[in-house]
Amino acid sequence: MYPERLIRGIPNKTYLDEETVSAHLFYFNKMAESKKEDNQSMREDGFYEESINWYDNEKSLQILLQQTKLVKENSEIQFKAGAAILNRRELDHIRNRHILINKYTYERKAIEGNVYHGNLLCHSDISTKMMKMVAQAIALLCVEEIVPPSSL
Amino acid sequence: MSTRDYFFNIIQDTSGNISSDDSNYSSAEDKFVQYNPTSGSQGYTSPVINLSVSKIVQNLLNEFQNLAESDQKTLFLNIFLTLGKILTKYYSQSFEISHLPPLHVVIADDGSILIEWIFTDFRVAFSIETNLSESSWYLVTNKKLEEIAKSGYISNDNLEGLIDEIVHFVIENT
Repeated sequence: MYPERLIRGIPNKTYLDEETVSAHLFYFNKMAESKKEDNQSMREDGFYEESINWYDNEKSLQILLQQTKLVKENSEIQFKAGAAILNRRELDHIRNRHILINKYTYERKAIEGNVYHGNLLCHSDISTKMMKMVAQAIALLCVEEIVPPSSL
Repeated sequence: MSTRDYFFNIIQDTSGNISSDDSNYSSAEDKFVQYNPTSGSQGYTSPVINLSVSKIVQNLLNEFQNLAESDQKTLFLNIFLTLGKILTKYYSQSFEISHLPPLHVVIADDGSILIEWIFTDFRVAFSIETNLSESSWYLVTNKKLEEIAKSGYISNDNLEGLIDEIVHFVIENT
């Protein structure tokens, strides 16, 4: 069901450091924000989500890099700094640590125009501190490659 | 001159808040280098110290000048000063630091200030949160370094010992 690799889009150059990425590429920002005020961004199952694409084939990468978003009524490329390719086995190794079992996971969740779409999922039971440590671990252990935006 | 005074001089000079005789220096890094501590009666023994330390903390200095006054900025400054002090201490004890990469600084989307020190086999980070009491440090390593995953809360009161341990770990493992 899940391929060996997954893709996380890189919105801009602040997420890059030399040949790797800053860990905040893997922050669950809605999680941090919602703990300040309300929990509207939390799912009914208690998880927060951050989008990825499953790297089933090259089309998946192509779709992600060509993804656009509306900014002031103009359509812009969403991932201006490219994409990070992650190793799923390394991610499994991280999320199988005792404290993260059933609290940090992923899913496949196709959306309109993107059958490769999925989510990283972090449960609301996990503290912001732990979420950010996991982000550091993912950035260190899982990132195999940075794909520039102009590669396709 | 104390370490704190030394770094404050650099900060004040580069922010333009205080007039300086060295206004023709081309960059903050030049100031670190050319601010020759051997001219003073105390402190640092070589301009090389300034170059090595400044290369590591340069991004912090740049970001510091962009931050609005806040408790976050105060903690950021203390981390910056303490890193400079500890790095200088290790250099003065003949530890090699010139190969260490610069710290990376970014304001994350949740408003936290993330300071990262990124190496092939491990990462060190400080996250200064908008709720200051949730601010934390992180150390994660790969299998080569036994997959350590450590974190803890930080405050203005516990920085020196913590950063000394972190810098020692960095020097020992690079």
